[in-house]
Amino acid sequence: MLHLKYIRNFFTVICFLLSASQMAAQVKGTPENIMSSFIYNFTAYLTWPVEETKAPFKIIVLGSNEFFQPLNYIAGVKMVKGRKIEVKLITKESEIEPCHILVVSEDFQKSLLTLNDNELLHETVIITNCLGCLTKGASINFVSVNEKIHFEINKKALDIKSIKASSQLLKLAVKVI
Amino acid sequence: MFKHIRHSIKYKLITIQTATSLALLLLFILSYAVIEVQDFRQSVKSELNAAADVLSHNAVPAIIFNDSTEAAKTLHAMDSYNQLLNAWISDTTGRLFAAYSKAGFEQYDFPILTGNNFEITDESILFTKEIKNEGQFLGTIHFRLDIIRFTSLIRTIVLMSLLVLLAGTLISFLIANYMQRTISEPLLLLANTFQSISSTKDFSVSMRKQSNDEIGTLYDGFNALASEIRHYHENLENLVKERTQELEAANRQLHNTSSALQEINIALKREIEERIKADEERKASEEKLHIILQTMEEGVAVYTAGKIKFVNAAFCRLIGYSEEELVGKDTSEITDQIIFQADLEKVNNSASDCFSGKRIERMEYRYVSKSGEEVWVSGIPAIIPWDKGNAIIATVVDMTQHKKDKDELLKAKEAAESANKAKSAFLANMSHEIRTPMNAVLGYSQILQKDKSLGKVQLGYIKAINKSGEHLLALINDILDMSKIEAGRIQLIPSSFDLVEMTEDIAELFRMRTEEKNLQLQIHLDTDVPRIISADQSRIRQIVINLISNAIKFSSRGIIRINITLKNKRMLCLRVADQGIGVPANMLQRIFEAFEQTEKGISTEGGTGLGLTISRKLARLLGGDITVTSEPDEGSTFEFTFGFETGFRHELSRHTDFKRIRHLKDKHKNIKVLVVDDKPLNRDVAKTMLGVIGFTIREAENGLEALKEFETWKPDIILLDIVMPLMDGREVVSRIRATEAGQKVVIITVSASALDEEKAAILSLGVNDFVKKPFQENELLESIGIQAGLEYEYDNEEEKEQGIKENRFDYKALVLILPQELRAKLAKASILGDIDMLRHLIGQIAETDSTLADHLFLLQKSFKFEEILELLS
Repeated sequence: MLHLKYIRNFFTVICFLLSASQMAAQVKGTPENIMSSFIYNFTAYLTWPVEETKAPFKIIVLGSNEFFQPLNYIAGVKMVKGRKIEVKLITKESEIEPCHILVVSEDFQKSLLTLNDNELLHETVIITNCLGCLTKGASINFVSVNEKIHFEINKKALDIKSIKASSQLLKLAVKVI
Repeated sequence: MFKHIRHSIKYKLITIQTATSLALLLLFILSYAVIEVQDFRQSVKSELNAAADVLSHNAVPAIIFNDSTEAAKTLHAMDSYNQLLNAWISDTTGRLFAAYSKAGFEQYDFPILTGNNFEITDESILFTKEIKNEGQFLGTIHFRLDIIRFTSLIRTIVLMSLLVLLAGTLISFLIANYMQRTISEPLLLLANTFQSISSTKDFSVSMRKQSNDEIGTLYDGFNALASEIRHYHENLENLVKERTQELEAANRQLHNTSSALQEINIALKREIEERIKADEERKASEEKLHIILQTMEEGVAVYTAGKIKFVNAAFCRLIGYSEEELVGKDTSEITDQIIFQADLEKVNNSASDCFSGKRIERMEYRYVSKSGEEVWVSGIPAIIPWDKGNAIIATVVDMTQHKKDKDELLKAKEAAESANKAKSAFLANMSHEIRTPMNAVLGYSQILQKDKSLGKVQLGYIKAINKSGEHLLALINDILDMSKIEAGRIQLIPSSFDLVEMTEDIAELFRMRTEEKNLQLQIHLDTDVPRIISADQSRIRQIVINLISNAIKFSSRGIIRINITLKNKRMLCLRVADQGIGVPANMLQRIFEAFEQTEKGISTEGGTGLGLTISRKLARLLGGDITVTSEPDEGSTFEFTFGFETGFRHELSRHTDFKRIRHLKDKHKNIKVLVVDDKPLNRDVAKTMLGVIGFTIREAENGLEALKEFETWKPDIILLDIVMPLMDGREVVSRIRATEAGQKVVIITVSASALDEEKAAILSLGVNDFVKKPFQENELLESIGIQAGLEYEYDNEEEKEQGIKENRFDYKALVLILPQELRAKLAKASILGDIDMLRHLIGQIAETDSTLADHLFLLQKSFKFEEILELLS
């Protein structure tokens, strides 16, 4: 089972390296794989207040291993603005530490409010995949429209954290609040 | 117009200038068109490239986040671009991602291209460019533009070109027309002047120079040329005269050459005719040769290493094949076919040797005829030139019948030889069978002659028996000699001897007989005759005795001359000439034939008639011959020639004086002699002879008994017969010699075999000596003495004298049987002391009684005439 999972993730990464759009259009990857590639692409259109050029770009996955695997492979082959990507999987809120992106699985959507208040995440883009999570404090939330994965952006939440989203990204979001 | 161009410099110049201008204009227009089109392409490409960059940049997020709707919106930004008909984006997989079409151009299939392209087709302009984000390929953006802008540009270019071309050509023509005059007019003037000179032949005309350019130079050249031609014209006539004279001289020379060629032609014609004639003669000769080859009895075949080239009719007849079956065929194939298998290698080898230039001898081999019969031929191959190469000509003679005859002859010869051998064997056997009993006859007669108890009459009978026996033995020996000669089994035994001594000995032997018949025997040797020679003395002696004996036999008066001369370095000649009855002419050759005698010979002397036959055959064996010349009643001369080698004095055989053996020197020594013979009489003879001498004798009847006696009695000497029942002498020798004790025992074979090769064979068995039966007492005793290392005591002269006294009765008895007349002559000679007469008479006695003759000879030699008289009294 583990073996099959490894193959699938590897295939996903290869597809990602070719093109995110190609992967989205052609490869029948899992939604988590497509979302993972979207997460990586967001980094090109988001600007964090403090950009340390040498420190790794940190992504933490809370709760779900489904995001961790593809993100971990992406981290192995890609960089964000010349920086290495570090991906970490945690299963408890107490394990949270400062990071650039926090991907929250459905299991932890109830904790969104608490996470918003967490001082350690004051410059962190919180990404979720649940209906209505955008209003509960998520910075970017994935939604499905006509069986295609789209995203919606909470510009206010980003503004609070002094994180700037490019107009092109905002233009592509199905919903911006 | 073209006619003018061809003939007028004016038009040529106008045309050249106008055409040059036109070409330059065309080149200019073409360059202009190309530059314009290139400029258009670059302009449009730059526009589209800029637009594509903007659109790509705007479309990247939409492509990354897979939002085709947003991408299509981005493409709508090109709506203001008038010529753009369609714009579309394909993704990395080549699928259409987003598209835009101008109103009215929605029906389009949006082809997907890859890479960066710019292409102008008949209908539109297509442009594509890859979309990349941070170096990563995301898709391709496509633009399709209306072609109308490009077509209007082309129309403008064409129109402008035509206008420029027309104006340029017109201007160029006008300028050329004006400018050509400066060149064409002076040239036309020059041309007219040329025409004038040509018609008038007036070379004094001169052109006035108008400028210093090339035309001016041409005028100068013309004037100089006209002057030169004028001068040349003046000299031309002289030159023509000279050339005419030269031509006439050449013509004469040509005429002479032609005559010479005609003569050569005649000679060639004659040579050709001769060659044709020679060729015809050669053909005729070849035809003759062909006829000869075809009609000759010998088969002829000519072949190279590859093919059979020629065969004649005789060759075809010989092996039964037709000419077509042989000629042109492969040589090795035909050779394998017609040569007898066993002879194939020999024939092939000789052919190879022949090709390599070796000389080949005539050889015999076999063909296989077409019908499969063997054909014997005798052939000789030779090499001849053939078709620029070499070929072998084989000439063969049919030998089949000859072979058959030869085989039959060989069989007949073998049969004859077989018969001859059978005859020889018969004679040898008969000789053996006769000599064996003769041994007893002669042996006993010798023993009995010593017997003192015998009376005179009995002693006379014994002597008669002995004489008859010896005569018979001589006859047998003659017959055996003939047999051996005919069978080619005579073996010559050369040895060194004194020729003079031998001749004198023989003469001495016959002296008494010659004196008895009042004949003189004279011997003469040339000074250059070598005294010591090497040859078979016994055979020469035999021949000489025969010749002298015959001379004495058939002479009743005169002198018998013996002349010995050197015929050549290796040949001696001995002539015996008498003054006897001679030989009739018709008998001269017959006397050499066996059993042939003259009538007088038969009537007067008798004999076997073999003497001369044997002598001649022996002479021929000795490398010489015997010839005769004779006149009846006047005498005969026999010439005996024989080959010889130089002899050596130290090799001379020793002649011991005849001494009678009395007994063994050591009387106390017990020497045991075993006598082995199946004939009791022979054993008895040997036993009696040896017993008297002092040997201890035992007898054995056959080989088995001999072996027993050898083992038990251990004899010192064995006298062994060869032919015996149960076990023959050969087996006895091999068995005895195989033992240790048998190595020392002396074995002397005593055989009646008279063949030399048999003697050699017996000696090779390992026996010590060979004594022939019937043997003389002394011969046997001497052999035993030599082989066993024994010494005898002999009757010396004093003892003999004593013996004479003691045995006077004995010799008296012998004397008594002499004829009365002889005894009277002997007495008379003794009284007178006539030594010559005594020797003559003793010689006569020696023919019948050698014992008495020896005794008388000793007495005469010691001048004891009284003792002789006493014997006679």
